[in-house]
Amino acid sequence: MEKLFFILSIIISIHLEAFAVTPSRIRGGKVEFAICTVGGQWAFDQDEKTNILDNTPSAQVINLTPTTFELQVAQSGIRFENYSDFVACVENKEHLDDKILDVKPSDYKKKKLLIDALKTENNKK
Amino acid sequence: MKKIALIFGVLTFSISQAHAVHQLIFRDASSLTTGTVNNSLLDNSSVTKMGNLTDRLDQVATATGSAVRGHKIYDLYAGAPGSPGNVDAVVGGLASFVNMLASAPVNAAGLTRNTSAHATIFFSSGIYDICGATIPQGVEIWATPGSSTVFRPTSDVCRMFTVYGALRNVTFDMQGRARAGQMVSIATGGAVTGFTVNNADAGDQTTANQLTSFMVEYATNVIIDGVFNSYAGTSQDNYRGGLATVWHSSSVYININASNGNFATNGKQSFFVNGSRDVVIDGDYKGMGGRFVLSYGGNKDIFIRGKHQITKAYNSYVLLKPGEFGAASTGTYVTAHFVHDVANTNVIIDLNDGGAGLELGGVSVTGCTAITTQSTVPTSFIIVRTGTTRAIFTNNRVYGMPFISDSGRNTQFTSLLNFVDGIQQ
Repeated sequence: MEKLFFILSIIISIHLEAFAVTPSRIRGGKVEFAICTVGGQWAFDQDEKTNILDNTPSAQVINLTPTTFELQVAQSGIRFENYSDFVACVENKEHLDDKILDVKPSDYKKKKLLIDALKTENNKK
Repeated sequence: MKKIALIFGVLTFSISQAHAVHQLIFRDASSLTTGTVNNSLLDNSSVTKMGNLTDRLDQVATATGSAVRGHKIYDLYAGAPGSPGNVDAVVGGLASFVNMLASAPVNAAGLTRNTSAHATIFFSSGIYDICGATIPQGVEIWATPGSSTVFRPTSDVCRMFTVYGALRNVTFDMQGRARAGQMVSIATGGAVTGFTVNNADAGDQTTANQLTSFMVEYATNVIIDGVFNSYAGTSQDNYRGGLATVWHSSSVYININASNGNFATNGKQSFFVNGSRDVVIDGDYKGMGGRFVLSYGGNKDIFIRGKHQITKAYNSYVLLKPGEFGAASTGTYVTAHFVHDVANTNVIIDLNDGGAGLELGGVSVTGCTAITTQSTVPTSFIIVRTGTTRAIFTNNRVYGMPFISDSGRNTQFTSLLNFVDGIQQ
């Protein structure tokens, strides 16, 4: 049991090291998370996964799930300048704090619940 | 007495006017030497016009032969075997082509880069079967635009010309051959302009055969300008492009009007650029598919322009990628118009990191428009993958598809006049 736990923790740590943030992208102004990597390539839906596997049938598939915090940041309604901006919000407490402060009052009014919850979660870091 | 003098004066004036009119209308022109005659007074049936010869080069060459060639419009006139007209050299293949170059006043046989030979050679209408020919620096081969001066390869694998000088206004007929290798290689200072390529869509598209129409290798100051009525792409990610390959060269200007490309599957490539600087790819591309261009590693200042109608399956139509001969590919500028006219979800511009340890930087996509006629649209107009740094997108207008899929570093596109269906990003 201890061995299994040790192996699992190594796998998890390798995974975390490889992807500080779950593979994702900004498309059409929204954050989208990859569902898996196929031979190192990111696939964002089943079609992409199938296409990659068609070309490289033996490629290793690693399924991916975003963290709760990543989902919270992605779905908060905050407008990201680019992908780096999103990643910085996930990784850097201060950057996210500043980003929340910069939300326009009119936007904050509409998304108050989500942004307040995100602020609370960020403060726990 | 005064009256007589006045009458005499009037009569004298009238007679001189009448004489002038008579001279103008009825005088025999055979004794004229200089002066200008009003065109309205000339009768084409009896007058030989000696107009501006440079506007009527071929007529002069074919109609009057060597006597008129005394004007030295071209240094030498060549014709195909059996071609009509009076020519200085008959070119029936490589041997007679070399003989023609060896003859006076060309005297350029065996030369490549040189400063001693300078000649212009006119090829009259006809079929010329040739491979392995070299056009030395300083030598220009001309044909009449739109005429049937047609060069055909003698095998599926031969290079037809190596151009150090210039080749202008000729037609290449590839005869539906399963061609491999290069059609024309262009060296420093070389130009192939006004050309037309026909029957080239059956080229052998496998990687091993390295198919490319124009090969520019270790060269600078090169011009390629003409029309492809058909062509075959070469294998995707191969170090060749079906239309042209630019390999470690600089100041290369390409302007092509291409249609009826054969891309077989969605992986066939039209251009390949590697390790080069200041390369312009412009033109009008109809019925496109496959991969238009792979701009690979070590490039600097690559300009991708033109109008592109994409009607066949494609895969990352413009692929910018670092790779061999340079981890960074910098200064690639895309300014083009794209019409997405095929049900295909692949992106149009792909900024690809090229794998671990490789970086793509300095890419600018500016002033592009992209529209789709389909309900199945690209995942996005542009994809920016990890390992791409500070790509800049400004002043682009996209309709019916998302503008960008961004997973890059510090990509700049928001509030920079990029519009999707009229809404700024």
